[in-house]
Formats: sequence, structure tokens, C-alpha cells
Amino acid sequence: MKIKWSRKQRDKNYIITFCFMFIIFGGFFVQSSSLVRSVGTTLLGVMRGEVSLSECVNTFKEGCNLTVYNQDLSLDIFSFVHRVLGKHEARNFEVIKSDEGQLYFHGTDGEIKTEELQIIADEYEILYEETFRYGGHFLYVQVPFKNIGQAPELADYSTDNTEESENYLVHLMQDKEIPVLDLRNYGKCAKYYKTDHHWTEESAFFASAYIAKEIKRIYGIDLTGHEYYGDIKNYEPITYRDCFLGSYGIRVGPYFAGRDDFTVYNPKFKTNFDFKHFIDGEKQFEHQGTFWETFIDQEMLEDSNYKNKYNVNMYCAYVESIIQNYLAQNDYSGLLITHSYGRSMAQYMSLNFKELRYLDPQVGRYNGNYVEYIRNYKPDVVILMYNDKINVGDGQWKEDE
Amino acid sequence: MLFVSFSFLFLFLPGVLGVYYLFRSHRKLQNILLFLASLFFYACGEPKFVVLLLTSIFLNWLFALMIERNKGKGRLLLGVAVITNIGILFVFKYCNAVFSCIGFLCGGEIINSPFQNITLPIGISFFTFQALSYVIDVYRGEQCQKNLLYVGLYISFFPQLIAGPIVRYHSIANQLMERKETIDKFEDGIVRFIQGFCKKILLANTMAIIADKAFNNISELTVSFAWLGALCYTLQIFFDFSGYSDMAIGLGKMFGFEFEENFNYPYMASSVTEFWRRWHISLSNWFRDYVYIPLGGNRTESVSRNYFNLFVVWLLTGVWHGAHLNFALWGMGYFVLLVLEKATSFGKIIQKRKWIGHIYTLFIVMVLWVIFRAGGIQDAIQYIQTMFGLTEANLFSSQTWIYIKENIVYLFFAILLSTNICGRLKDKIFQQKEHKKVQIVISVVGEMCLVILFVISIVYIINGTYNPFIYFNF
Repeated sequence: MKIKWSRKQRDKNYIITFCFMFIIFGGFFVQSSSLVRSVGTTLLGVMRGEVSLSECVNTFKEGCNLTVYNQDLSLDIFSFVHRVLGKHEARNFEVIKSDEGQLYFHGTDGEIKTEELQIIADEYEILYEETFRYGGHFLYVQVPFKNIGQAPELADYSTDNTEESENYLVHLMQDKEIPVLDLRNYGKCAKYYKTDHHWTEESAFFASAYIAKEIKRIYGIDLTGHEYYGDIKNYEPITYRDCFLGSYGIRVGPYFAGRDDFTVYNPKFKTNFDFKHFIDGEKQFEHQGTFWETFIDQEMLEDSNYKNKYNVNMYCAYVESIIQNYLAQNDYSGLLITHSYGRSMAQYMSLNFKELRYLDPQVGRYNGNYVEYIRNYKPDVVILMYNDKINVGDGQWKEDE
Repeated sequence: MLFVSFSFLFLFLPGVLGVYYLFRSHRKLQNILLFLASLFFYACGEPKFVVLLLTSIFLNWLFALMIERNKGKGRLLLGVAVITNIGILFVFKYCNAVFSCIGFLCGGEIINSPFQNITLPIGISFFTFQALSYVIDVYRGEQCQKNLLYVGLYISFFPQLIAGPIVRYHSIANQLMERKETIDKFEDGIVRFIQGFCKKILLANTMAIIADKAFNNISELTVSFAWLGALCYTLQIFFDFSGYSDMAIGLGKMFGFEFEENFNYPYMASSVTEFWRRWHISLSNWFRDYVYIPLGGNRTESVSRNYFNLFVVWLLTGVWHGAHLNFALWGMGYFVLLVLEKATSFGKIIQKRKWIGHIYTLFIVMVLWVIFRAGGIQDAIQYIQTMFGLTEANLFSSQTWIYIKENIVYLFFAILLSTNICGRLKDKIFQQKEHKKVQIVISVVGEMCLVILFVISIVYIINGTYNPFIYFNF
């Protein structure tokens, strides 16, 4: 029903109108730079005959939609609303929070892909045989991936076949009599950042220690000093509080996700390294000095605007890393083939080798032929910690998969 | 372009509003601006179909003009106009389905339609019906607009172009030149727009998540989740479509136009007959005025002829939504129920006992929405069987509880706002003169809450939680 407004009541109209106009015109001015840019690009494209009428509209729309002013604030509000509503899931069950506050990604449903896992195991066998051929030593490591199956209370939110798939691959590797270290059996290696998919620095540290022990146990190779380097008492934990919002947290915002502390275990003993990072064979950067100076990106660590602190490790090197340990107590060389879990682990593992190389086989990272790499490099130890196809020249690995 | 997109909200709308009010005392310029803006708005969906829209505008303007000038040949000209409009609709919307049907009837052969690669122009059913109503009204003696620009603006005006409401020309004829923009109307428009915006983003989209989960996994459904899915789709389609209508009406008000209401709390209806007086009112009225009454309506010599008229109307209503058997079946479902209410004492029972009527109507509407939403007839049957425990599906799954628990606040408000409880409460308070201060507080706080919800809705868009409007497909 309509009511008659007094002067005071009519002022309300102006308030609502003002708020609305402020929002849409505020957005208009922020978007205008994007608008000018997209109009410019589109017109240029039309003049050059590169853009058709429908593409023209699409380019224009994309340009208009790209700029989001203060994405952080919007994520904060999004996150806050979810927290107020007491939700355990966000973004249509894409990210799910456990009672302990751990965030998980929606699980992979359905049957495990046994055929694909067989191909993967065959590829790993090729690497094993290549290593064996020149007298090197090979270890397959099954990493404890963070997955929603680890939170039983979330079983009804999402089913997950990650562990089943891992079990199958481990089983295939064992059938091929390839040495396997299953880190899922070590609780210390299964600690994760609440807001991220990665394991903690502590877990990565212990994983490195267990791998060194396992190499000694299986092959009798004594990575001299590994017992000392594998003792956490010889490190000083340096913690940055509430600074880390990981890959899951960044999707759902800090009020829903919370924030993680970021702790680096800095050696109390003397260290001296040289660390180079290459992309397509070209050196990207080189760092030398102590453990901290060589591996920890101090600037990133202290940048309050940069939230994904996991990338502090090894200056976010993600393709081919070569680390020389000038104070190594042995002459062994190692090749670590793994995904980003390796970034936090390689820096601790490098203490055990004279030289350690770390290759990330994920698409868009180091995608050269790994058989050739091993053949040319001939490391004493090859550590493979991966669960996906890898380029071994068998034609199975494809960049677009 | 969607009303709930960044480009609309932060570029198109402020741009058009700004220029519109710059030309405050130049009505003609304002109308030209609105027409061009509407064409641009449409072009943002599919630029090539602007030609189709312009053709429709030109032809219908011409038909109306010719009908007015050649009264003697009016019937013939009207026939040509109707065939042309329906022909356009047929080519773009139904041709492929008809050819498939013919192929099926000819023993499963695939017969390619000559228009098989044509995509459905967005909003074609809405603007074609709107244009057709104009020509028919002129034939019936209503005012004919000689200025092509105004016919163009009437048919293409962006707030109602894509998904209605289907506006009748005579209802806005005067407004085209003599509308009055006031701050009160503008504010009303803003409130209405925000209400629609929030309905779509916060309620319809959240309900869509649950409904999609149910309808995309029919074979894995439990009985409880099937009911939850049906309930959520019932709410989703209401908030999706009524949200769009609210935004359209609100935008119209911002530019000084008044459109008729398209929804009136349909889920409060106590009979199917009443439901259709409250749901998509502009479409029901269109079919009533341009199909049912011309066929003879209920003033027919025989009852069977009346039922035939109803049959035609409901078949067309179903098919209007799309060239799928589901829609036809959905329309036929309503036909059967309307006849049941009309022809038996059941209609009187539910009139006397309203609560029975409410339960029955909601139940029927929900089940029929399942037919409407399902991917095919087989899916619809399987879904309904699951709802009634006629499959081997379990009765309850903990997943049902999780989806309810996670969305309990949205579900609560969706159910509450689909009823007129809040409106009645507000009216009650506003009727009492002694509570003037309370009224002001409620108004101000209510509208500030709306602004906050508007901001939250924008945040939801930024964070990518959106899906398109259901009625854009029709």
C-alpha cells in the first residue's frame, strides 16, 4: 500500500537514490578505464579486419567484465557472509571446511581410472629402468596428498577416490618391484595448511628425512649427515603469524577460511648453497649463501599484500632447479621429480646431496623428455614423487591433458 | 547482456541513465536514446539478431499502419501479420523440432531442417508476442502509432525486451511521450530493481544449486532429495523469473514508465485457476485476450467447445516455452487440472476449504515443474517415480540434510518471501496511523537492508556465483 510521506520521510528517497547511484556510478568510473581499453582494442581490431561484429561485442564485454575494483574487499564480504551463515561449503561445494577448520577441495568422484594408472606405472617403470641401466638408484615416493577423504565428517559432502587411486598406483609399482616409500604411513608428513592444498614446511622437512633414511635402507647409500640434517632440533622455527592464505583460502576469503601461520625451519648450523632456476634451459635467477638467503624469498614473506606464502619456498621456482651444496658431507647427486609439494621439500633435501636437481613435471613446467634428462645427467639417486603422466617419450603424455 | 552482469550494472545502466537525464527536457531525444540503447543491449547478446528485431519492428509498424488505413482489408492484413510473426517464431524456435518429429514419424530417419544451424534469438517469444498484440489491438480499433521510432521503442525497450513482462501498447502509448519522471518513482524503481536483483542472485541462484544437483543426478536420487530438488526448483523458477520482472518494472520506473505486474504471490494460490491468475500474468492475459476469447472463450454453445478452447490455450502455453514434449505435457497437465476444477465439484471443495486448495495447488505446481525442468519425458517420469517412492531409491540420504543445513537461511527466506506474509504484515503496520515513527523506521531500515543486500549480491557476482536466467530460453 502507498503511504503519504512527510518531508522527513521523503528524504529517505534521496538516501536510497544516492546509495544506488553512488554504487553504479562508482562502478562506472572504475570500469571506465577498462571500457576505454576494450573499446580501443575492439576498434583497432575492427579497423584491421581482425574482429567480426560478434567478436567485437564479445571483446567489448570481456573488457568490461575484467576489472574488479578491490577484489580483496569483495572476497572479504563474500567470506564474511558465509561465516555469518555458518556454512561449511562455499562456491557450490567446491571448497568444504572440516570441523577442524581445514579446507578441502571437492573430491574426485567415481571409479578410479585403472587404465590410466597402468600407463602411469609403465612410464615410471621406464624411468626406473633407465636409472638402473647406468647404475643409479630409484625410489618412488607416494606423497600423502591433502584430500577430503581425510575428514570423515565430510563424507556426505563429497566422496573422493584419491586414496584409492594412490593405493592402486602403489600396488602397480610394487608389482613391478620398484622400491616404494609410502609417506602416507607417516603421520608427521600429513600435516597441511588449513587454507592450502600443500603440506606444511614441517611435513616437508620430515618427508626429506624419511626419504634419506629409506635410500640408506634400500640401497645402502649413506647420504652422510642426513641423520643430523633430519633432526628438527637442529633448526630454529621462524614463524610469521596469520600471514598465509593458500590456494583454497584465496577462493573463499579469510573470514570463512581463516589464515595460516607460516613457519620456516632455519638451520642452526652453517650452510652454503648456490641455487639456479631455469626455464627452457635459460637461467631465470641465481641465489647464493646461507639456507635462508638461498631459498627463502624474504621480500615475498614480508609483503602483507602477497598471501600465498607457500611460494616463498625456493623463490617460487617451478620448472628446473639446480642446487649446489658447498658444505655437503658427500658427493652424491640427486634428481627429485615432483610437483609443487617438492618446493618446500627440495630445500631440506638439498642438505643431503652435493647437488640436487628438482624438476616439476606438471603441464607448463618442465615438460622435456625425462628419460633423456636422466640419461644425460646420470644422478646417483632419482626420487620420483608424482601421480600423473610424465613425458618419457612414449607418446602418452600430452600437453593439453 | 544480463541485468546481473557487470557490464550492465556498471557501464550500460549508469551510462544510459546519465545521458537520459541530461536530455531532461527533450523527450524525443530521450526516446531516441532509449531505442538505440535497447538495440545495443540486444546486440550484446547476439549482434546479428538485431536485424531480426529491426525487421520485426518495421514489419509490425507497417502492418499496423496498413490495417488502420485499409479497414476493409483489415482481416486479410491481420492474417498476413499473424502468419509473418508466427512464421518468424516458427523458423527460429520450432522448425528444427518439427523436422525431427517428421523424421521420427517417418521411421526414425534424420531429416535435416533447412534452419538447423540457426540458434534461438534471445527473447524472440517475448518481443514477437508483444509486437503481435500491437497489430491485433490496432485491428481491434486501438490507437495506431505512426512514428516508427515509438513502435521500435515499444517493442525493443530493454527492460522488458528479453523476458517480459509482455507489455500491451495501449498501456504505455501515452507514456511514450507524456511520462513523468519523479524522484518518488525513481526511488520506487531502484527499490524494485534491487529487490529483483537480490531475488535472482541470492535466492534463485542458491536454489538452482540444489535443483541442479537433483535434476542432474536423477538415477542417484533418494526420495528426500527428489522432494528437496523439486521444492528448490519451484522456488528457483519463481525468484528467477519474478526477479527479472521486478528488475524490468524497476528499470521502467527509473525511466518514468509504469509496467503492469507480472506476478502476485502465485504460490499463495488455492487453486490452479488462481495460480495462473498470479503467475506470469502478462502471458496468461495475452493468451486470454488473443487466443481464448477469439476462440469463443467460455461463452460457447457447448461445454466441449469451451474445453477445446482451453485445450488450445494450454497446448500453446506449453509449447510457447519451447519445442520440447516436456513443455507440451506440462501445459496439458494444467489443462486437465483446470477442467477438473471447472467441471467437477472439486473446484467448489477447494474454494470452501482454502487450506486444502493451498496444499493441492502447491503439490500440483511442484510436480508439474518437475516435468517442466526435467531433461526429457523419461527423466521426468523417473524423477516423479522417485518422489513417490516408486523406484528402488532410498527414502533418505544424509546429503539431503547437508544441502538443507548449508542453505537453511536461503531456504527460509525463499519460502517466506514466496508468500505474502511480509507484505501483509507491512500493510498492517502501515495502516495504523498511531505508529508513524515505527513506519518510518521500518521503511528506512528495510531499504537500507536492501542496499546492503544489493552490495552482497554484487559481491556474489564478482565471486562468480551466477547462472543465467531460466526464461531467457523461452
